[in-house]
Amino acid sequence: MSFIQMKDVYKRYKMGETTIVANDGIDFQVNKGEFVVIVGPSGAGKSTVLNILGGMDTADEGQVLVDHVDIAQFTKKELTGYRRNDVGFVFQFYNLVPNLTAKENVELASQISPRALDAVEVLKDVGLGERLGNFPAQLSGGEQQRVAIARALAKQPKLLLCDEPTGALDYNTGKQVLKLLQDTCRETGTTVIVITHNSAIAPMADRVIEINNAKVRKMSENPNPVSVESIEW
Amino acid sequence: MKKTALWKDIFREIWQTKARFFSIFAIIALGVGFFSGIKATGPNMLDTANHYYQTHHLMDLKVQSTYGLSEKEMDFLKGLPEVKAVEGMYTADLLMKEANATAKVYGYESKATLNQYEIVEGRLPEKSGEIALDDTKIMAKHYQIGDTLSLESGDEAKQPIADALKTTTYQVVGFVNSPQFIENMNRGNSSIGNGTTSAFLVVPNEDFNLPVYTEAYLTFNDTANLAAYTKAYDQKVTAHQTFIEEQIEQIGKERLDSLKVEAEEQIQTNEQQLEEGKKALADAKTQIEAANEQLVAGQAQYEQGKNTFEAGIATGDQQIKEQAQLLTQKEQELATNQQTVEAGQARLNEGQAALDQTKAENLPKIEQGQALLTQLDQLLALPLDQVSAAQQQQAIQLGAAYSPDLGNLLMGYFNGLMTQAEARQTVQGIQANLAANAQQFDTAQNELNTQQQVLENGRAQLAQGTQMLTDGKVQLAAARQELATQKQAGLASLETAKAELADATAQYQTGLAQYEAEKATGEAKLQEGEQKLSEAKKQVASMALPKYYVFDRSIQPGYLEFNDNADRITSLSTAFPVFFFLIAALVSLTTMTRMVEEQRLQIGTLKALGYGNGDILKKFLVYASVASIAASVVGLLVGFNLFPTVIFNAYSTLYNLPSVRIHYYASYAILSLLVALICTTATVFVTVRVELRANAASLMRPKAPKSGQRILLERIGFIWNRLSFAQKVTARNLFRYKQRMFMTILGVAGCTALILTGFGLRDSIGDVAPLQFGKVMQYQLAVGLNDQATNDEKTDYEQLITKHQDITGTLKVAQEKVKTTKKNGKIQDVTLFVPETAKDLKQFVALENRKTGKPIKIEENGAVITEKLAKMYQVKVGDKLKIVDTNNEEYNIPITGITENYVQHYLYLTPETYQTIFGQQPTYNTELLTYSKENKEWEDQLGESLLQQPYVVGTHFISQLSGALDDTMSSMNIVIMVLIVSAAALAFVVLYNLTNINVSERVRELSTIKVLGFYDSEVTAYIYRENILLSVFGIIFGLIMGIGLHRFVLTTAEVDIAMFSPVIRWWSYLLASALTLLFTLIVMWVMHFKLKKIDMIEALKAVE
Repeated sequence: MSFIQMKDVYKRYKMGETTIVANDGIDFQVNKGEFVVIVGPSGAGKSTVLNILGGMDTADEGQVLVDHVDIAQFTKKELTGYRRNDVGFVFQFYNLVPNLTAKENVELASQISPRALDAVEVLKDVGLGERLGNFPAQLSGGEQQRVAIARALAKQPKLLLCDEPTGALDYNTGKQVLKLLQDTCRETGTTVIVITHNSAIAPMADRVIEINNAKVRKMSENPNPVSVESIEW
Repeated sequence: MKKTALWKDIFREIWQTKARFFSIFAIIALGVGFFSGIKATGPNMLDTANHYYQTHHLMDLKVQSTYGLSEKEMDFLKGLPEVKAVEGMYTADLLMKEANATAKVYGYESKATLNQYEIVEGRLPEKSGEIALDDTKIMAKHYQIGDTLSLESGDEAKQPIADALKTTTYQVVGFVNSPQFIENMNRGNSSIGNGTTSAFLVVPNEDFNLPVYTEAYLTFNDTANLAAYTKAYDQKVTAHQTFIEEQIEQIGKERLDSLKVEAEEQIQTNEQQLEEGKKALADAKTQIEAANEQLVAGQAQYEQGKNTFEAGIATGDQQIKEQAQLLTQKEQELATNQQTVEAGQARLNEGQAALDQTKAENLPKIEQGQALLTQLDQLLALPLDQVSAAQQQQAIQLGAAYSPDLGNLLMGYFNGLMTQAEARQTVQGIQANLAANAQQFDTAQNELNTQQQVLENGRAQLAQGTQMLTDGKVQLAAARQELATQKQAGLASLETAKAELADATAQYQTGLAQYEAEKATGEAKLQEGEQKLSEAKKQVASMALPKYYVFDRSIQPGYLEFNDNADRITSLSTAFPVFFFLIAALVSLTTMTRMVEEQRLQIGTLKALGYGNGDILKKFLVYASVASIAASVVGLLVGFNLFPTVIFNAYSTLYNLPSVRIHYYASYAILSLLVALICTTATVFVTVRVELRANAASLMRPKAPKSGQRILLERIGFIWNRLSFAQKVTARNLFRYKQRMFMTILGVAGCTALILTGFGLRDSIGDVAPLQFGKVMQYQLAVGLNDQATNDEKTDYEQLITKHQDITGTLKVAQEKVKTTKKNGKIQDVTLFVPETAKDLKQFVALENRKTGKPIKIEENGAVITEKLAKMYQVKVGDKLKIVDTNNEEYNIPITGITENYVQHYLYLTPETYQTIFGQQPTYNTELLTYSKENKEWEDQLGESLLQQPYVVGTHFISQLSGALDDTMSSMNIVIMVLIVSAAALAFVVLYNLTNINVSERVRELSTIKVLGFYDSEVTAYIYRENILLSVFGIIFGLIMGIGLHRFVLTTAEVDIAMFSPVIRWWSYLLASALTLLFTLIVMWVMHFKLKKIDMIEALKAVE
């Protein structure tokens, strides 16, 4: 049984007179512990999928089963609880609270989560054991993104959702971040879904879902994912 | 080159940032509106009053005199320079029966021009017997149009109402206001009733019965166009006042002379009248005596008449009786006579019958005899021879037939026995016998006849007697009748006479009684009249020069007070709105700065596109200008209308003025518009110019986010470590946005300060009455005493006071008005206050240090002065204060103490010190009383009984004074409520604005924590923890600021003669804090919904 199932999910945005269909019957499954890459061009509807999956947005139609629970039926409050306990987010622009140190940014998440890990440990795990007391402005982009990942991981989410995590990073740093995500997936068994427009990283995924024009064009399972180090783009 | 795109952008920007635009708009509108409105209120109030005065031709001066105003004075006044109009007025203080209150009655004449009434309802009196009433609640309670109002004198014996008014009952025809009485309650003092006039009444002049005017009103040409309450007006009027006061004294002498003449004439007339009265009384006496005499004579006459009558009647009766008796006697006599006659007749008849019988028997024999005899004689005559024997025989036979003698004779003769001659002789003898016999018959008959005749006579006599008797009887009856009639008539007339007499007696009795009564009253009156006359004489002898009083409008109740109130608002408007405006400006400045920061990227883009600095600036300048100009216009319109109206209406419970006249003051409009523009447009200009110095590229790059910083608190481990994570975040956030923190604290503090000032003002002003009349002045009644009163009058008064059981204390005090020397262009009136016994003063007036509460004693060699006076003249204990008495003599008085006091200036002295300084004994012209009763009725009664005392000239109840002050305070409360509400509105807008900025600045951060799974309440709490903390800081800071602002406003709002208590009550602090906190919470509650609506996806997508 799949850990995540999106069944015939529709999402429409009304922009004045016109209606934009962001998700036009999205349908896919993800198994527990998989490293999933969703690829597609800008505006294809990837982020909408991720937002719905992360409980930041709601589907207009269809089922979104996460661990056998249809989060499409959740109330706003239940969604908040879902985000709080089950989902970790990593954004393109890190979205760290600038007034908090690295450690505090992680604590921001860990303090509201029941299964939270120790913030310092998590930061050490992501290789920032030395930068605990630094403010985001004092960290490089990669480091900031690592803080963001640490913040997401600290609550031991069932699901780690990453929206263009490397979009604002240089090649090497981006690679390191992807490595961290892949390692996390492998080591903790967390289901990781990464959105990217860079199809080059598809080989490192257990599952690749191609979204184009609001529909899932292709979903392929990769029985032999490669390490991110071996991928060049 | 059209830059339509740029303009479109400008207006779209406004449209899209409605909330911000509106908050700038609101805050500027509030600031401008409040500033201009409050600034305009004072002038508007004064203008409204002035307009009312001018349209109703309120007098400039009022002249009164102790003897009223005659034509002399009126002529003098009319001849004054610059005088525009002079009008005399009749007035009288009387009691209204129905309302049981004192009224001042004014005469009305339709052609009078000054002090015109404003008709509220109905109309003014047009004919005698009509009355218009003061439009007050008390009057409306007792009278309606059509009702009857009756007036009576306060003391009918001494001042009969007829002396003042011809008519005493009136029909109510209308309710009016007078420009003389702009105050709603106060109608001034009165010398009758309880000492307080409750209303003015207007009756036609024709109903007055006064010989001279009681008041004269004047207006002047040179003041006609000057507004009341202005310095120019006051100066002109004071000049006129002084001039009249100086000049009118001349008239006084003349007036006195003419008054004396008049009075003497009056006395003469009175004397004459008195004499006449005496004479009348004497006349009456004479008359009554004459009447008495007449009555007595009448009585006697009556008695006499009665006697005569009775005697007459008796005589009549007697006479009648006698007559009757006589008649009876006569009747009897007559009857006897009758009987006698009858008996005589009978006898006569018998005699006759007997005669007749005898005659009848004898006569024929006689005749036969005669004839025989004759024949015989004849035969005898023949010789015997010749006579045949036949013849002889025959003759003898015949003779014998006749008598045998004769026959014998004849036979003898024939027988010749006897001679012829003898025979013949015998025959002849017989014949003679016979003739004698026959003669005898005749004699008897004759006798009978005579007897018959006598009888007939007797019978005639009898008949006559009977006739007479009958006549007599008739006469008697008639006499009886007559007597009866006469008696009746006599009795009747006697009765009439008696009745008349009784009437006369009765009349006399009543006359007498009347006379007695009249005599009694007349004598009493005469005595009184004499006494009066002697008094009047004395009075005339002691008649003083008329005292003239020239009053300006300040005598009118409420006139100056209204000015004070307007001034108070004006002085409030110096500090309060400025501060208010400052906060508004500060916040709009923050908002505009934030706007420029948000638009940084766009500035860069426009710059990159090649727009010049001017064009870029234009957007912000237009935005700011549109906001501030629109807001200013709205603010000015609303402010100029709303605040004067609301505040004026608040005072309308105190004053019956027409509705406020709104003016738009260009000065305030321009000033506030300028400040608004400086705060927004100028700010924008400066901020944008700073931004524009950077190049396009750097502008387009996101501004490096402000780095987080460790704060000082983190170094204090034992505190920092104890803080929760959220608290730490809050603490650090506070210091991260220093500008916003500063602005928030300042904004909140400002609002708190404004609110606290509002409440504090209420405390301070509201405290004046209870402090002055509860704490400082502890007596309950000040009785003004007439120092000219006689000793008897004084004793009367003392007895009255001693008899009153509820009066617990009395203290005689000498009060005297003195002035200070000029300071800051002003001279202060100071009341010299000399208690008869200084040690008793503390029961009546508490002299103590305000701060320490330590009692102050009046030292022997100096004076205690009140705090405000000391402050104004910067006098300390040990200094000297220069005062000027009414004779313009200066005295330097050493000051030994400064005492707590809130209203008016006092200078307390001991009698000894007074004596030393002024060289004379103080005149105790006031008595202070304390009593155990608290209710108004009792006070009214006391006042009434006191005012009936000639020794008492006036009563001043503390309860009334403090009541009046309370009214002022309650209207002040409304003004303060306006301030508080405005401050609250400002607080709300400021907090909303600042919170709004806070949220929009940190929307990304808020979205992040939302994504991290913070519940709505946690998100709100995350940001509000800061807000609450800032608000608390702001409140604390604001309370401190408020104390300062309060003190500042107080000193500017304070009038010279009053000191406000600078103490703010603890609950005012609490209330100000609570209100601010409440607004913070309301804003948070509103913002909570805004926070819930934050679109985290959008926020997170964007590059910061």
